[in-house]
Order: sequence, then C-alpha cells, then structure tokens
Amino acid sequence: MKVVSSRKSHLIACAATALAVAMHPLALLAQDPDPLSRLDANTRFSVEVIIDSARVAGVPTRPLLLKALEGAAKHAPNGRVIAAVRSVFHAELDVRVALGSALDESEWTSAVSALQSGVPLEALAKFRGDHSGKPLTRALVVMTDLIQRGVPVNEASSAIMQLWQRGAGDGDFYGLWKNVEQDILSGQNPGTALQQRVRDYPGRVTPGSKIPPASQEPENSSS
Amino acid sequence: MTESDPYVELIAREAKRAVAVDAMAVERVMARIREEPLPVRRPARWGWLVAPRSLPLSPLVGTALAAGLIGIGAFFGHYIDRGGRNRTGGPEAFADTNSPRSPSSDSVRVIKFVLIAPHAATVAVVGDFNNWDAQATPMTRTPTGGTWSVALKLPAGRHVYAFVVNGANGTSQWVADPTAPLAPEDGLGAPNSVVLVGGSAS
Amino acid sequence: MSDDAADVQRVLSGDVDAYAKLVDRYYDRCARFAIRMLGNRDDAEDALQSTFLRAYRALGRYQERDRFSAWLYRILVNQCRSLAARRSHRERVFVREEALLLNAPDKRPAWSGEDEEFVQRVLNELDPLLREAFLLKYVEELSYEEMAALTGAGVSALKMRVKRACDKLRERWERIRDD
Repeated sequence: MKVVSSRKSHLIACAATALAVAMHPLALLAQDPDPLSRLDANTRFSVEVIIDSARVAGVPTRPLLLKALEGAAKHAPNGRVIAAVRSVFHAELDVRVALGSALDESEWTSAVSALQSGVPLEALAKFRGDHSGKPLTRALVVMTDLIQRGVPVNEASSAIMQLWQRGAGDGDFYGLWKNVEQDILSGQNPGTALQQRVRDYPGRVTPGSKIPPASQEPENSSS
Repeated sequence: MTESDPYVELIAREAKRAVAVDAMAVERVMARIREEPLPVRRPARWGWLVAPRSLPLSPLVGTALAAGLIGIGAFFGHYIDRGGRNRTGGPEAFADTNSPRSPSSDSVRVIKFVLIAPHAATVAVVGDFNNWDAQATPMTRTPTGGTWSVALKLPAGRHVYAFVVNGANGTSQWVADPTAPLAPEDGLGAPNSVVLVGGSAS
Repeated sequence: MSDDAADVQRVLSGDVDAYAKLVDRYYDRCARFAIRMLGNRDDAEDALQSTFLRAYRALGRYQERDRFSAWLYRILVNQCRSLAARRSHRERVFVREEALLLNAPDKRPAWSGEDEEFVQRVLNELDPLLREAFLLKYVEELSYEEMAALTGAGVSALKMRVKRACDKLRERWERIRDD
C-alpha cells in the first residue's frame, strides 16, 4: 500500500499505475443515510443505546457506529457485536481519564486501540499534556502493533514512551516500526528486536526531529 | 502438612473424597450462563487479559496462505522516496506531517492498497472509509495477474481496514494487510490493519 | 498460555461454549468444597450456580497472571459465606437421603471411617470460619499464603483457625472414644 504523490519526477511507474486504477469519489465516504439498518432489530437497539450513552457522556460516537458496521460486515454473532461496541465505549471513557478530551478523532481511536491491546491506563496517561506538533497517533499505532506482534506490553509502552519523551518524530516512529517488523519477520524475538532498535534510535533522535521542511515540496491536496 | 493426628487425618481424607455430582448440574449452570450478556474485557488499572500474538502475520493471513489464496512476496508495491531511490515493502503508513491537531477534512490523499492474491476470484478492501461495505470497493487485478490494487482518496488521519479475498469456490476470507501495522483484536474475529494518512507534505 | 487462560480468552472473544469447558473442569472440585462447607446439596448447588455466574460476569477482569482456580475459589468462598449467613438461623441437617445421593452406603451413621455422612456431621459442628480454614488447608491443600489471598484473612489468623479446627476435632474424637 503506498501513497501516491503528484511529483512526476519521482513517481513515473507509480503514477502511471495509479492513474490507470479506478479512483473512487469522495461521495463514497459520506455516511449512508441509515447504516445501522444492516443490523437486526435487537442488536440495533442495543447499539443505539450504547451510542446514546456515549453521546451523553461526551465521547465520540462515530467509532461506535463504525464498530457495529464492522461487526455486521464480518457476520459476527449479535452478542459479540454488542460487546465490541460496548468495549469501545468503555475504552473511550478510560481514554478520557488518561488523556483528556482535547484529542482529534485519530488520537481517540488510536488511544482506544492501545487500551484494547492491553496498555495500562497509567502508561497511556503518560502521553497526556500538550502534544500538538507531536505524533501521538503514530506513536500509539506503533505501540499497539508491536504488542500485537508479541512484544510484552510493558516493554512496548516503555520503549515508545522513551522515544516520545526524547522528541521522536513521525519518521523515527515509522523507521522503528519498519525495522522491528522486519526483524520479527526474520525470526527475532519481538521484545529483543524492539530493544535493539530502540538502542539504535536515541542517538538519532533529537528534539523536534522531523524531515526538514526544506526538502519537501508543497503537496496538492489531491492528485 | 496435616497435623500428625490420625483422627484429623481421617476426617481430612474422607472430606477429600470426590462427591458425586448430578450429571445435569453443569448443564443447568450453562443454561443460566447463556441467558447472560457476553462478558466484556474491562481494563483494570494494571492491564488486562490479552495474550500478545507471537505471529507476525494474522492467523487469517496464514489460513489464506495455506489455502493458496494469497502469497506473501518480497515485492508488495514500492514507492520512490525523497531521494529518488526505489524502496520496497510496506505502506507509506507514516507520511511525515506537521501534525495538525485535527486531521482536517479538506486534507485528502490518495492511498494505493495492494494485495498479492494470485488465486483469488475477487478481492475488495473494506474499512471505516467505506462503512465496512465489502461490495463498495472492489480491487482490480493487475495485468501480471497476481496482484490486486485500488487507489482511494482518503481524508487525513487514522483508518482501519482489511481485505476480503473471495475464492472461486465461493469462500470468503478477511485478511489483514501483511505489511501494515495491526489493529488490536477486539472479539469480532477477523483482524484489521491500520493506515495513517498524513495531513501534509511527505 | 494455560488452558484456563486460553478458554477465558475464547469466552471474551464471544465463544460462550468455551465457558462450559471451564465449568466442567472445576465443577466437581468446587462442588466438593461447597458441600463440605455448607453441609447440604441444595445450598451447595445454589452457591455453585452463583459462583460460576459471578465468575462469568467478571471474566473481563480476570488477568492471565492470576491462577484461574485461585480466582474462582475466591468467588466460591465468598458465595458460600454469604449463603451461610443468609441461612444461618435455619438448621439444615445432613439427611440420610442426601447421603444416598452422594453415594454413601445406606447404613446408620455409626462411627465408621468410611461413613461420609459422619464426616459431614463432624465438619458441621465446626464454627464456619474454622471449617472453612480446615477445608482450604486439608481438602483443597492450599498454602497459607494462598488461603490468605482467597479469604482476606492474615496468615497467622488462618494458622490459628486451622489449629483450633484440629483441636476441636480431636476433642470430639476423645469424647467419642471415651463414651
């Protein structure tokens, strides 16, 4: 899966392929007028109750709706769909305790996923505070993925927190994730792989390290 | 352990004997259990029950591999980086960004989804961007035959998705993207992948 | 991952039948404790049903590093206590019919090493806390530390209770012997 950029001088092959592939209009992303109609009546009722509770509680409702749709698409048993939606709702309440509510939607969902993968609340809470300009979503996505791949929860969360506190940027988290994934795929113990790569990183991580803007060209918002 | 008193030992020995249990007792318990809503994983202050998978691939990818539906190739689509070098593997999942506090909805990128599935009859991508509708976003087989792809305009931010791989015999499997970060398991069975769409220049 | 933890995971993923495996694995042993503790089958079955129900509802809080049996027993011990408290003023005598259900031989409850009903009578005479401590130590064969975690009592309090239970049993034997 890759990003297609409009910079012709760099993406000849990719651009050609991309243009040849059907592109779907943004209209697809608009909400279906009644997406919950895919659920049976009882399940739908239970899900709507949970969504209503979330609305009253002031936590995001769209992830709950999407979780229900995901469950319907996967033909999961009704009880499991309801349990999954409820689980997201409860996790959102915990996210608010850990991080507050000043999050964008991606930060909410990545924090929910971090909790669902087993990261303890107090570990998540260490990310609290001003994180504007910092890649909170990316850090949490990497942490969640590493846990899924077998890194023990406490090792993953402390490693990511180390990088976070040293001001690692998107590129650093991406590089770390890429390298650790490759190490795991080539048979390394996940926890060991992560620790070794983190040892490599502190030297290269400097506060505010990101790809310097000078080497970037302005992007069109669509291509 | 037992106090060396024969009487006490006798009582203990007798009390330790198994008691006969009504054969239907377990059934009665389960009948009551089935009336209950499913228990939900509740986060405790100190973590909860999750066993991290040691497999780098999701189990369903493994199954799909075994079924011959998909293949994991070294090539999984490539992109050209800033320096003009070819780089293989993995999604540009972490496009660098100035990290806007909100992924603004007017910031949209084209993301290309690729899956190697030489024996599939059809493949679709499903995710939060198409309301998990398996009919909404079919992928196209490339001329070489083994690779499926589709390009989508996605708003900036985190998205969760998976591939639905359909065999000629009507079988259908949900498959995570082998080279993308994994979303956590959440009881719905099939695994999901995560893509982060950057909000600005990469 | 232990079988127990794996089955718990399956239940939390929606597989209710995996819970039947857990119940099956532990029912008999829990039944033995409940019957010895409460002295009759009906109360024991009530306690067992509410134990497994509460355990099911609380599964989301079970953590893999806990031994499932210990976690389950904590619930069982508490269920037996609250049930006993609710019915403490009602005398339940361990009747011969129940002894039949338990496969005990149909004979008069004279002193005999093989008479299960007799053993239950003897246990019933113990104060509930002493009986509980005795059963956990000598029937369930737990360590004092495990018992402390289960009951919330301190190790030394538990040692004292076990000792007093044994003392009482010895007194009873001496009374029988001397009769």
